[in-house]
Amino acid sequence: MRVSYQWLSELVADLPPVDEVVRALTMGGLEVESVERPALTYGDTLVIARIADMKQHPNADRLTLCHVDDGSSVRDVVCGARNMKAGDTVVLARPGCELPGGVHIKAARLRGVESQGMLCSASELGLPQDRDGILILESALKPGEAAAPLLGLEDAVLEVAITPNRGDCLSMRGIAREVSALCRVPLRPLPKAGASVSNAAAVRVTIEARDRCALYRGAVVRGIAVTPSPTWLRTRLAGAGLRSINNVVDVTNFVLLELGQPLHAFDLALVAGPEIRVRLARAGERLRTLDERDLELDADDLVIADARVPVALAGVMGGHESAVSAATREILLEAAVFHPGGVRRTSRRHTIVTDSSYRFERGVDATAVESALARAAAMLGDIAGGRVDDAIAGDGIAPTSGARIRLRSSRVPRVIGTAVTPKEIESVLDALGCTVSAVGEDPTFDVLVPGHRTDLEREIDLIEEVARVRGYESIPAVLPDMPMLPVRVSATEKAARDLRSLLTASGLSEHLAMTFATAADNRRFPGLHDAPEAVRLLNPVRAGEDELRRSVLPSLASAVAVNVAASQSRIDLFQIGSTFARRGDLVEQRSVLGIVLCGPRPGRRLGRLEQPAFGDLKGVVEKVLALLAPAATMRFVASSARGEYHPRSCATVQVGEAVVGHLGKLHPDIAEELEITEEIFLAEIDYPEVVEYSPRHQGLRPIPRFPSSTRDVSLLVPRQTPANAAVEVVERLEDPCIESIVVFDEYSGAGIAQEEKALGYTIVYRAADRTLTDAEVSALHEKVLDVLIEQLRARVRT
Amino acid sequence: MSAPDQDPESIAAEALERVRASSEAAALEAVRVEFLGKKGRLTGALRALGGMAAADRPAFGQRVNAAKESLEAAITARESGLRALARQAALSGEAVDVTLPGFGAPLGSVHPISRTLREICDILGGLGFEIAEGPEVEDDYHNFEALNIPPDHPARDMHDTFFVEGGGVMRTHTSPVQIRVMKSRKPPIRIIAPGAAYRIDDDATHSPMFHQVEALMVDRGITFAHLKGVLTAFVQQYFERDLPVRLRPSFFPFTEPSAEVDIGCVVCGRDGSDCRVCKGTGWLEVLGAGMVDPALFAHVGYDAEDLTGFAFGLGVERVAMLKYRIDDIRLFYNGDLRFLRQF
Repeated sequence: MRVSYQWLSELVADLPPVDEVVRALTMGGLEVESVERPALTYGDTLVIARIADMKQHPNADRLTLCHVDDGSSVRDVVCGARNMKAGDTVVLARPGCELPGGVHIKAARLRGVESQGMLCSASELGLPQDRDGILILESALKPGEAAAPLLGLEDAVLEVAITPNRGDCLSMRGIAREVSALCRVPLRPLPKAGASVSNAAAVRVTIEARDRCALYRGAVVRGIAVTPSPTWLRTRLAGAGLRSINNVVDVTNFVLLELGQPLHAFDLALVAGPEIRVRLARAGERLRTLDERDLELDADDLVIADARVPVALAGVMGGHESAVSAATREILLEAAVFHPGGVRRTSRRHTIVTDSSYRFERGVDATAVESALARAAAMLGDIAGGRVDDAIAGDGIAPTSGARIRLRSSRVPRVIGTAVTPKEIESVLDALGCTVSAVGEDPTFDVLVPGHRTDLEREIDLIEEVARVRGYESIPAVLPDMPMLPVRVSATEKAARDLRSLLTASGLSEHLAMTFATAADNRRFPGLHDAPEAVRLLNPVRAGEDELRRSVLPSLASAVAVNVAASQSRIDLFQIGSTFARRGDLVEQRSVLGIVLCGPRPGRRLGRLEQPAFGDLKGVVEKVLALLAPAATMRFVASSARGEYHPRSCATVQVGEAVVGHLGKLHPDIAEELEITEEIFLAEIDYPEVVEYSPRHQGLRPIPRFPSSTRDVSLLVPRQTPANAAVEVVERLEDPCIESIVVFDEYSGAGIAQEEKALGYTIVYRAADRTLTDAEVSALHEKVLDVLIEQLRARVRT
Repeated sequence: MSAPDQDPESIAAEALERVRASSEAAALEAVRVEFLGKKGRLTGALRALGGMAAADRPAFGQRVNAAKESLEAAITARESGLRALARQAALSGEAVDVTLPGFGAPLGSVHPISRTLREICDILGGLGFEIAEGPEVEDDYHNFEALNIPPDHPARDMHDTFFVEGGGVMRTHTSPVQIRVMKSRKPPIRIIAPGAAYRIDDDATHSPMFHQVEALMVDRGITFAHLKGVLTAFVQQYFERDLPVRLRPSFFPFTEPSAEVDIGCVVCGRDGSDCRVCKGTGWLEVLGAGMVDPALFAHVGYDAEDLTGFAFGLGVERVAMLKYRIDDIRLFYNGDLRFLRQF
């Protein structure tokens, strides 16, 4: 909210300097986000003046020579504008005046005539210009009066952030109350205004929807002349960022700004009855609003209706048909209290947020509705020449205070952690306008909250007020005495931490991406979810990204594209993040690890760059698995079923029958769709699942005491036989004297038949209890070869 | 009796001269055989003993032995000298350029957000806070209602919410984890909830997905002074200096009293009136905090008379941006290695 310091000084006596007010408000919970300070001071160099008479400049067609009365003398001023006439009230910059934009006014001869100053236009004064030519003010102003305060030119404006609980601070009076309580300076009393509800009122008011409107008052003002507003009023509105419309509308806006009570003026002649019904909209009813939007009303919309149709959207905006116009002579001025939630629903439903709806949502002071109405009516009398009917129309009973709350003084230190005397508590609450009386031991206070503090309902609310007004800086910082409790780190979190160390040590960098995805992303990369559907957003922030990702792989692929565009080599990235899918009502969220390898990387020889291969990726994945589940048996199984991967360069990672991940080369079709020309290798691992499968350590196996014997063999096998087949065959033998079998070579090409390949294995033989003899090893090796030859349709390569 | 043709000292002198002249192992071996071998000249000199007077024998024998020993020592010394020279020559042929790069991939980098999250969790872990988790797709109850944000409450304006088809929202903060933890455990509670949160916001300082760490401590006797103590300890540990910490009253529906927490500007050190980061105020808002609103205890079935607690939540991107002087939040999420490799 924009707060004029000058206006504030009219509401608070002994107002401290700007910086002190800024500090007090900020440290009192009303954060001052910025301060616009006046750039210039004018003193008596800028005054109100009256044009006594004017004539054509003797030597220039386009210039006028004015005789101007500035209160102390009549001086000659040459003026280039043409919109003024004799008798007009204007703003005169005397010689010595500095105007915005670095304009210095000096007495000067213009085409042979001495000009002793300048008549100012709005824009020359730094004000918004709504008309061409010099600024012409109302004749009620006296020549010689300082113009700067009247026009707000020396005012400081504070931009104050008001939290949603403090609807009472959405007015100048509200800010003044806070300054008064926080700085302990007196609030000036409001002008007395009052009127009473009577059946004799000219308008009948009925509240039909009482849960949505507690209170409605209407005042009739007759004999109104709708005219532009006086300067001081325009200045007040401009300082708050509002445009002046006409005197009637401006008065309602002024009272809204001053007291926080939204008001609305109807042209009484256009209110059928005249009668007001506060009711819910009926099926099919429509309303054309002030800003000329045609709304189809909802049965949950509260409306102000006359005897026939809705004339306003209650608390949000008035209707166009009953609006005040230049022809208006009699008005019905409305002040009411509408249900905050109801106003919010209507405001959101029709996407209309107004100063009025904003305040009703945050709670207005029901105890001050009548005085605000009286204030506005009286102002209309002054400014628009109106006569206010004695009888006020209305329905609903105005409360006299806010909530009644019990506050135990002993509870205050239990929450804020520092002692506060009962006297201090009382003094704070008193400064906030509460009526406080001590009852019983402790003591307990019986607190009657003022009507504007709709946010104070419970004891804790008052404790907060005590802490806030005393200042948080008066509360010490104390570390709590705490019981010793073990701080556990979950297996998943620990795994994620270990993975970051392992993968960065392996040269991969961590990428973090948003979890939003396009439907195409999710179709191409279904991820590790069994759940069939994607999770969809109703209001995505970026067009197209209206789903949550099923896989981290699309974001890794797009990071590759970013880095290719940036000419980076060795684009090795990983990501640990959430993926989502839906099955019926259930949203499934997983944490997964994604890996991408792309682009040439240095080999063993300097200057020799190598493209990554499947084996590079598998090497990383093997390390990941060994890290997370050292003793588990994982299998890599060739898979051609996953559409995101090259059908002949893809594997699933399995524990038993369960798939815990997959890896491979990106399918060239998808690479083409994504406009990626490099070969990229991707893997996605459900690492929490891998951790789940990790068996506990089985205890140490004894270190062998007897020597081993090693035999190498090269087998010619059918080309499609996987290298691991021989390993599996030998492992199935479960011979205690076979320690291990490891593949060390794969070869096809020259010297090998087209349909075959050669695989070299090293087999280690060892017995636990003795040294195997050469004869024993040879016999065993023969047996192993026989089995391999038979089961793999292999031949020994010689 | 024949006298020796030469005295042992001059034989030795001749031999030593030959040793000095030898530049390879074979030449030395030849010297050894010629002078010290079975038929060697010094060995031969001993044979002259037979023809000597008994009284002269010991002295002559000693002279021969001394000559043999000195020759033996000289040969050995020369041998090892030659070996050292040969090794040296071999080594100098094996020189490597130590300024060439090492093999294998250089170290990759941990993402600055992960790094920051880890640091925060470690500091608070050291103060006894345990990590708790909750889903990123939340229901309205946990994200709003149980946190004292009823439907149609203007506080919902503070949370520009993503709605999920079929019900639920993307959590707008990690605070719902508070509710989940309190519903499943008895006090004392001391947890942190790190993780992603979502709000519809997309500019240089706001990202539609961002990260938060929420901390919650509930027990008997916990006060606002404790909140201040823990926050001060945390902030000073994280930013690694004696930064001033300032609490300002504010509003969050789920805490009361509530506070915004400012730290002294880490960029200008509180002296620059034209500092872009703190806008000349000398203060930076880093987190929100407060005492747990009793209404939350009612939702989770705790006794609000008996228990008090505090909670605070901080934006991970915000503190990472301050710590690493990052001025555009979008740099975190596009995977550009030129950014990532700096961490």
